[in-house]
Amino acid sequence: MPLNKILEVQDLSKSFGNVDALQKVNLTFFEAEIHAVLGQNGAGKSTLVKLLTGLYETKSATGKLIMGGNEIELRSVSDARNKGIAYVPQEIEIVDNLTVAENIFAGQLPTHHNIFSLKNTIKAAQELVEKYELNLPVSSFASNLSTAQRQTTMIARGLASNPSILILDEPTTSLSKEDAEVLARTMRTLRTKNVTMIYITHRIPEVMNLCDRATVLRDGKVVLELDKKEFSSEKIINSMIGRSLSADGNVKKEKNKSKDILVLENISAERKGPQSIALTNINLKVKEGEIVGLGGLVGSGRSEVLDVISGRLPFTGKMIWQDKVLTSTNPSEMRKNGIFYLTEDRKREGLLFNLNLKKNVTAGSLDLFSKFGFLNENKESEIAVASMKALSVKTKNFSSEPSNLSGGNQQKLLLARALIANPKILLLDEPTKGVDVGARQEIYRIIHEVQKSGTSVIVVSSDLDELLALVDRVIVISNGTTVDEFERADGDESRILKFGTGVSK
Amino acid sequence: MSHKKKTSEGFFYRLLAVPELGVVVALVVSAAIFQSFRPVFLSGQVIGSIVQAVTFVSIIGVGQAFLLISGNFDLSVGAVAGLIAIVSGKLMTTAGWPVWLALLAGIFLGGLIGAINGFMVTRAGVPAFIQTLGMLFVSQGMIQVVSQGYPVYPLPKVITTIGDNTSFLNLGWNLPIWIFVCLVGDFVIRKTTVGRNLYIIGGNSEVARIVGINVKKYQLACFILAGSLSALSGELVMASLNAGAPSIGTGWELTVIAGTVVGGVSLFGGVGTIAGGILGVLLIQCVQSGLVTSGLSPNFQLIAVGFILVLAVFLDVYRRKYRNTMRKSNDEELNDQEAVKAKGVI
Repeated sequence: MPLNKILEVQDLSKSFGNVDALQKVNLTFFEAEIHAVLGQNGAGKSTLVKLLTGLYETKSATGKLIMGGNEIELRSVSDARNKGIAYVPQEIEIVDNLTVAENIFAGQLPTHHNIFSLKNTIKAAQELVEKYELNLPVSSFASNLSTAQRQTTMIARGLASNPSILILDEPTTSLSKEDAEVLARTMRTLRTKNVTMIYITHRIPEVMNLCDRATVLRDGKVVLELDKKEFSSEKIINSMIGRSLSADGNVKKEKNKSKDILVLENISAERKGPQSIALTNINLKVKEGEIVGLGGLVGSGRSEVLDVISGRLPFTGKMIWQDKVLTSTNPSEMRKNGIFYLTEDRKREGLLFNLNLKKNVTAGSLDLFSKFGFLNENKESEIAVASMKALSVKTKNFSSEPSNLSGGNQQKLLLARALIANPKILLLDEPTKGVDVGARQEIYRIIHEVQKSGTSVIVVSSDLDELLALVDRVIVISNGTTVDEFERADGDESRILKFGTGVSK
Repeated sequence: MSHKKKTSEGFFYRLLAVPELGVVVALVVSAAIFQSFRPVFLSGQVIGSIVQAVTFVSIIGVGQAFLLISGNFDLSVGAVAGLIAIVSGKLMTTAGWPVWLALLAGIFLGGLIGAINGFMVTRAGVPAFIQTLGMLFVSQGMIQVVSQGYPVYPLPKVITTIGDNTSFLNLGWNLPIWIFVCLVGDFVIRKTTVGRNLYIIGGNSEVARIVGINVKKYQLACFILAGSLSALSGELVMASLNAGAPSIGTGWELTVIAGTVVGGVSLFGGVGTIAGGILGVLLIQCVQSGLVTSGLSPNFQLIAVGFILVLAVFLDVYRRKYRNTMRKSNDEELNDQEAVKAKGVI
């Protein structure tokens, strides 16, 4: 293979405040290769991608980008596109009621004297599709496309600017295995057309099958570079985790011998919508007073499992709640049963920005301080303030609004809402997302105290250290199915990654 | 909480936090202006006619405020008021029903229309705008079908005693009924679990669902309330006119929505009070009557209402923005690192 350097990244560093997102990263991309960039969440992949696509200006970082022998500076996404670097984002963004051709050229429609012509657009799209041998019906409406074709349309949109480098950001997250195969085939074809692809992913088997080289990032640094012949999933997983982390992973926990409070047997569920993950054969048990962690990749179906348990997502299969079989649920019934859910999205599914902090805490628990439907606001204030103080929500005024609070305090506010409800099971999806280090520790402490009071907790977290430090038992989910389960003492990060990334089955 | 707070909690800041402030100020200012033009403005007669008109519209306004707070709205309220005036008038005359039964049946029918709206919006998923606009047309058509274009007249004698009762400032029974509806509405929205849950639903219906509130049930109940109160209002107008006129309620839906929104009830749900909504209706009526006493063409009333509506919402947006900037400059808790984590690295 002729090895022409196409893009070199030299000593690239970028920091946010005192967080170093990238530290002296050196990378070389060659012509017509598929180059995987791997790493856990927070390893620096996104920052690297944003710098390469011009979303972050080159001058906001230190270091150099060299393309075809010349140093380049990227000022914006369109600047990067003009210089030959195109980006295929993770989400499939397709407008259903436009033709495939219009979708391909969205934002850069070919015009003639400023007048749009559908005929010319379709012709241009047809040329593009033929050039790259993509299988797309350019003149039909996008609503007729299969998922794989939608993904291909996104790639075609990236190729529309005729780039030499195409960056694909976790394209297989929402794809089935068959659709991922189609994508792999498309990428192999593109390689023969001299397109260099930078492939951001979590999924190790895909890397082994498809890629020519792989780079692993951890904590903003390049920790491993492999050629195809050196590929080994063992090496990749180990370098993604880093050895230093296993030190604090040896927490011994007693085996919980209480009885099961919740059992899911062969649960399947499907949410309508393009980005959702179908669940099949979900099996899990939660004991009283136990913290269960759901491990797996983003988009593996972890959050959907919590949606099912909380009654938000209808399911088929058997759910047993305290020895009672439930065939259908709704949120208000599950809330009465004692299940309280804090979703990942605090802003859209947690905080009430129209109400003050106290009223935010008491939402859903009004019966604690009301008689015959009449609110006792003094009692409400007492309860709400006491619970916020107990969780050390930092604010100058308990009657102010939640938008004043920092991320960590917002999360503690929501935990206060959950705890005054005195739940039997607390569902936490990414409880420390966007939370600073100090508040993180407090949230861990709160979760452990909740457990001591006899409440069970189910935690979803992408931070494997966090997950393992918190939980008694781990259940690994991959592609919408539970694939592994182990007591905390019997496994570590690599076990989650092996099963979660599809290396082991 | 301590009273020694710095700038952010100062008098002005807290004053800005009172949502009804703007309407009260506007009300006082406009009354003063009209009074200076024509000293007759603040006479008993003019005030009486303003209050009279306000009672009818703002009884509906209470129902509309409940709906708006829970995140919906109803365009059919005026037409429903007119339809019920005609229907209950027909029932007590042509059909020969006892007056009390005809009145109750009217309110029940209003509630039923509200229930249909609520069902279509919460269960069938039709947008409230379309559903209630459709109901507006249906009700207007029904008015013509039932009345055949003629007022229902004469009505039984007892109806006159409802409309012409002189013991309440010559305003008839609508004044005490109006006061009762307003007080109960205001109490329910501020002091009961029902009211609080409506604010939660209007603030974010998904959050309401997650914390276990039966969102659809509450929203349906609000539609039924709006329908019933529209019916009540229609019957009160009928009593005071002593006839079931087909023109009753025409155009009220917009006056009601404009009034409640001017009074600080958000079109997007979760924000506002009953008191504010009523004050808003009062302000609009006050300006309309003021223009009449000033001797201007009635067409200027519409122009004025348009201006007030946009101005009120503009001022509200501005008030919030200003409060936010005051707050931000005093906020020490925003942590740089955290902000970065929240949007950047993940």
